[in-house]
Amino acid sequence: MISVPAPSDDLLAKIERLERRLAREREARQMAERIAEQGTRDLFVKRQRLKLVESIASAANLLDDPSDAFRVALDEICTYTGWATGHVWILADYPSDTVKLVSSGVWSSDSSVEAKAFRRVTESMSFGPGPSLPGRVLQKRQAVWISDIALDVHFQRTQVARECGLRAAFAFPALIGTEVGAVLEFFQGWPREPDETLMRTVEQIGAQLGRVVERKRNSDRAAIDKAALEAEHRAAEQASRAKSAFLAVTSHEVRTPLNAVLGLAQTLRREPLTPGQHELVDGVLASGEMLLRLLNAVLDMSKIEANEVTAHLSDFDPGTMVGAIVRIWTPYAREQGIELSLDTTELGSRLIRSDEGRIEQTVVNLVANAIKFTPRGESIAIRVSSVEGSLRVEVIDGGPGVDDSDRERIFQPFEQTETGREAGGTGLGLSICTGNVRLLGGEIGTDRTETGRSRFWFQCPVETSTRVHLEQPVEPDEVQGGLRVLAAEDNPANRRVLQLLLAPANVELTFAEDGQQALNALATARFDLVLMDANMPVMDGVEAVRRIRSGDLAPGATIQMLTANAFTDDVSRYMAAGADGVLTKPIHLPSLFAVLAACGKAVPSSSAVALSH
Amino acid sequence: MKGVVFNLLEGAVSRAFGDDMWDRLIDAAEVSGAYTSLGSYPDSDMEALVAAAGQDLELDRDQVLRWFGQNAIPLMADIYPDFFSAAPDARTFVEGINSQIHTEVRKLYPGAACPHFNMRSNSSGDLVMDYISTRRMCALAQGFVEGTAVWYGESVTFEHVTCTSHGAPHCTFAISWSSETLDKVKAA
Repeated sequence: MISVPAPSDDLLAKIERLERRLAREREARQMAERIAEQGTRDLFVKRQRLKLVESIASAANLLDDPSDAFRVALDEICTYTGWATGHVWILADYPSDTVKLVSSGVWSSDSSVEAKAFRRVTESMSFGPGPSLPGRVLQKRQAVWISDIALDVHFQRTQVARECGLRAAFAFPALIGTEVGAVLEFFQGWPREPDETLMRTVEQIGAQLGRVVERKRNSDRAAIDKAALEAEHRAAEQASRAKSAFLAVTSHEVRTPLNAVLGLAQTLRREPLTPGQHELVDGVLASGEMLLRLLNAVLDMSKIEANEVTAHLSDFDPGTMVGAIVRIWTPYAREQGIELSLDTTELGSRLIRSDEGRIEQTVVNLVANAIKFTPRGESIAIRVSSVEGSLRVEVIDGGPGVDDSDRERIFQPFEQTETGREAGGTGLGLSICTGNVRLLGGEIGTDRTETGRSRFWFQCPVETSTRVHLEQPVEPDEVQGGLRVLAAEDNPANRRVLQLLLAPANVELTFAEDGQQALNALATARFDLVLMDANMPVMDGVEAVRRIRSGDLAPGATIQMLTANAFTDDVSRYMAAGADGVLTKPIHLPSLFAVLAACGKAVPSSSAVALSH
Repeated sequence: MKGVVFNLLEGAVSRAFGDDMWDRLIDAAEVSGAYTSLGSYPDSDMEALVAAAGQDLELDRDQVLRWFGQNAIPLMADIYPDFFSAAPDARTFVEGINSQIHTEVRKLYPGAACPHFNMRSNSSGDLVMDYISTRRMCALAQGFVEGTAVWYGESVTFEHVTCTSHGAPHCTFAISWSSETLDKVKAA
């Protein structure tokens, strides 16, 4: 046996100290481990909470329908907390003046099985601000916790909740700013003390969900605004259509009496008159024709809006046309103490091809303007000239003229100079002129003459007419006598005009007052020419023409439509129905006689009738 | 108080006086002596240990705390070398206590109740610091400042302008550093 010497006291004391040191170190280590484990746990919980907030935030960003975002939030929060069921209250739309929460019908996925009765009761209720769970959230705008609903006197669904095994509850708002947009509530099967961290977390989630509710609200409002705008747009279109219809009807209504005035005046002109009376009748005719062109211009304005304007080319003598304008305006100008003079010495070709109505309208506007701005005692010179294939018209007035700075502007719609405003203009005259001249490919402008007088001018390219001279009007005696004419016309005044116009032609005239009467007349007699008004009661002209042609009721007869509606569409409709031509009202006497003359040549005998079959 | 401060005290005492000295202080202070840097312990443990050391070394409380501060700095420089390498000199280091050092401390030891120092320069360019803490350990702060100067090889003048122990609402220090003085001392 080996004997071991007994350790010294010193050594024993040292061992004891070391053991104590070791025990301290061990204790410190265990403490450190506990602290580290707790830290790790805390970290895990924080990460879970962060994941919860993140997943709901991303759902809130991606989903447009609040119900979808709510469903995600309910499920995520139930998973995170382990609570049994969750539900969303939303604000009722009606009545809009009170704040009221109603069930959205959105529940967390697992809540249907256990809490069926609780669901039913909940969905039948609604809450305003008050002591109820959703009511408190609505009022306080923050999360509310009920540790045990059995002990909360204000909780209104206690009985059914307990039957369904629900005891603790918390709820929080989806906030839009400071406004409650919805309330989310959650229930748990046993009493639980408030978890402040959880409450702060769900409030954070509430802010995210509030953004979805806000987005939805904004998009709903935008849709309502859009619908209102569309309704306004439809109303405006409707108004525009009504205006067009009004213009069309008005033009027809105005043309009918104008037709009578012009027709009667033309007839009167054929009577034996004194030179003075003749001049008066010519004045009536000239003014009436100008009124007609004005009417056409108004209709053109309505077409301008639809970009349907075209130039109506015809052969005319610009010198004569401008001369007529000057004659018409002279008496008025004299009343203002102003002399008008016309100079056509530099007008080469007397016969040109262009749009007479537009050129006339432009000249009238410029002359009227000149009279407006010329002081008493001054004069206005109007020059019509030919310049390199163009027609140039100058109106030189005695007014102050236009400043250089205004020269471009005054040709724009509604643009006026101060002087123009004082003179009471509409600001439209020159822009109409600009539109007319541009349509004809020309230019319009204002400047000063060599002597410093104010000058407005326009110049547009014109074709020289291929005709040597204007067609001489067909005289009544060129028309073969005894032509049988059937005229269908519902307006008595127009019937009178037709009667007067046709009197010199010595025709056999029969009247019908509508399409049906015309068909009846054709059944009993034969006619060489049928004049058919388009718009008539009982049966309109188009229908009548269609039946005449399809039933061959007027063999060999020429059918001419009489109409104030001579738009391109209408004309093609008439021709499709079987009309041979269109005479526009007011009836232009030379055109009517040209038709009669042609009729007489084409259908004078039975052989011609046979040929037409 | 954070466990790391107890660990630093243990290190300073053991390095200067040996492990047995630390055992004696624990016994005399009647504290558990088991401290981990991750834990937090009652301030009274620190006061008891400081009192025991004062008894043993025949020093008063402030002298012990000042000594502790001076001797803790080299240990801190071993554990947290980045704190020191980030500052080029002692003054920069001290000026960064609130924003650099204590910020890092709070990251490592959540809930650490670090004192706050209001800092400014006086007319002669000295750093004036207000020490605001309920623990009344201004002497420890002085020790830390002095230990830092030594670590950077500088000399420091630390003037305790006002002190809570003399009835002032808070302590105020006026501190100036000189790198040359120490060099001259060393050269001499």
